[in-house]
Amino acid sequence: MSLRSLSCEQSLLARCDGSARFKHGETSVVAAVYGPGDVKPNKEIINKATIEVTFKPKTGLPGCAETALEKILQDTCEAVILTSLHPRSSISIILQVEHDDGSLLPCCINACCVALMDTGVPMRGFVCAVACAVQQSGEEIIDPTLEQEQSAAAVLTFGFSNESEIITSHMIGQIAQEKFYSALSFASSAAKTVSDFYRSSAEKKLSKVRSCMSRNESMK
Amino acid sequence: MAEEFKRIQPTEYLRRFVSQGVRPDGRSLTESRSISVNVGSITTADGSALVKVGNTTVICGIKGEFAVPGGDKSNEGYIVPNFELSPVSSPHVRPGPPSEEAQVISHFLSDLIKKSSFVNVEDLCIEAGKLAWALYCDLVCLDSDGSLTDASVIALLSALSSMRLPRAQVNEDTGLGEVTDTRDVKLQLNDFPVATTFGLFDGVYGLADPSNEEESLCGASFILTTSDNGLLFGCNKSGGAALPSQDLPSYMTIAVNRAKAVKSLIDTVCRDSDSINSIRSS
Repeated sequence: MSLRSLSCEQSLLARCDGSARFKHGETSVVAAVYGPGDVKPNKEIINKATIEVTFKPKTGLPGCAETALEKILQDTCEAVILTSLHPRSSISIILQVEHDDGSLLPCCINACCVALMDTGVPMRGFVCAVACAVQQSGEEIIDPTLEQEQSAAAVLTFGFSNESEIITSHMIGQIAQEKFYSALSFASSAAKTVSDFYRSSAEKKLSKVRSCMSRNESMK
Repeated sequence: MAEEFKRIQPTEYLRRFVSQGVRPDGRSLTESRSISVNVGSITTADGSALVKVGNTTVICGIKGEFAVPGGDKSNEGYIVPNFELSPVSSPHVRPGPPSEEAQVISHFLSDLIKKSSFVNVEDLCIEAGKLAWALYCDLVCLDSDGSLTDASVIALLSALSSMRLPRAQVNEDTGLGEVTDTRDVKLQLNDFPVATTFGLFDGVYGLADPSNEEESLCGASFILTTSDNGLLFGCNKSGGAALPSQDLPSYMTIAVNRAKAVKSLIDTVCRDSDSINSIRSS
């Protein structure tokens, strides 16, 4: 049981402080980060940074579902960003869905984390998110497609930090309690794959930077 | 002396209690507040319930309207929940469109209805492809003292259980829906999913059914939605301190016991309400 192919691109947008496109198979989300920057006086917190998340669906006007998703993402990012290092500032994260083929919430969380890493916002760790669909038959599927999610008895999303700490969890549908624990353990092992992927994308990005710098050195 | 300490150092004040296994209002860490349910108070609605969980008060009114079933779902009706916070409930609530907090709860209720099978929307179909019931469930919080999701779910379940719709059919001549005067169509609930909020204090202590003060001092909170027969309908946590997964089984047990108590309360209230109505009409 494994995840679909993960891919990520960083610094793809020119005007933002940081950006990332994260893909789980066909599901693709672009996250852009502006910050730390100005904050509206009514949203200002005197000892911490204000995290603002805007989620744009692929089609249609944003509604309650989008607001609920923004709240989950805001709370998740706040748990890992060192907000006390930027008091009275704002860190704005904007997400745009390019294609939804299932596992949208984990893809958004992962896109946020990589975009924040690209920006250089100080963080105490990452959240590696993964979804698990439990079928009517009881079978667990990691990183389900849209079709698998719609036919599932329940879809569970978990965001882990430091390999096994549950920072965020979201569930729709209904299952027996034992199924929940087995889905949680499958998700926990799959999250390690996401965590390794973050590390390898960071290494790739830094090796490009390093090779550019050494080329500039040799040209001087 | 205690009053000043509570003002100046609210977190430390709560910590002194919680580390001894109690809370300032005298409850143990796993104890929920007392619940009271009153059904049928809104006589103009098809179903209504007023629920108090401690001080938190939520009222739910259900109105059934005719609707045309859509497209590929030609044998299904609709249940549309909408939750709002009234400005009377808290000084932090301003008049105007629903705040983020209200929208999150509306979406939670909507997901619970659509994505689980505790209620069959097929039962709301009057004639496939032509006419179905659309139940508009309006929930208003009148007093916000923590665990709003819990009270909202109990209010919705109570209102749905006690709702009585008139019998309806499609008039063959006009093609429009018409109703009879009797009110005896009940909606069958397959399960009673009850939400229990837990506040996570200091990342270690789980406080069941936190009040508004306790919620503001807890770094994180999570909501377990369970039914009386042990099925899990939701485990929602967003951000904050990590959830100690080894403690989850004990939290699940607390949630299931609370679900059992709530189900028996709703059953009793609905039964009493039915017998009062039958005495009135006879």
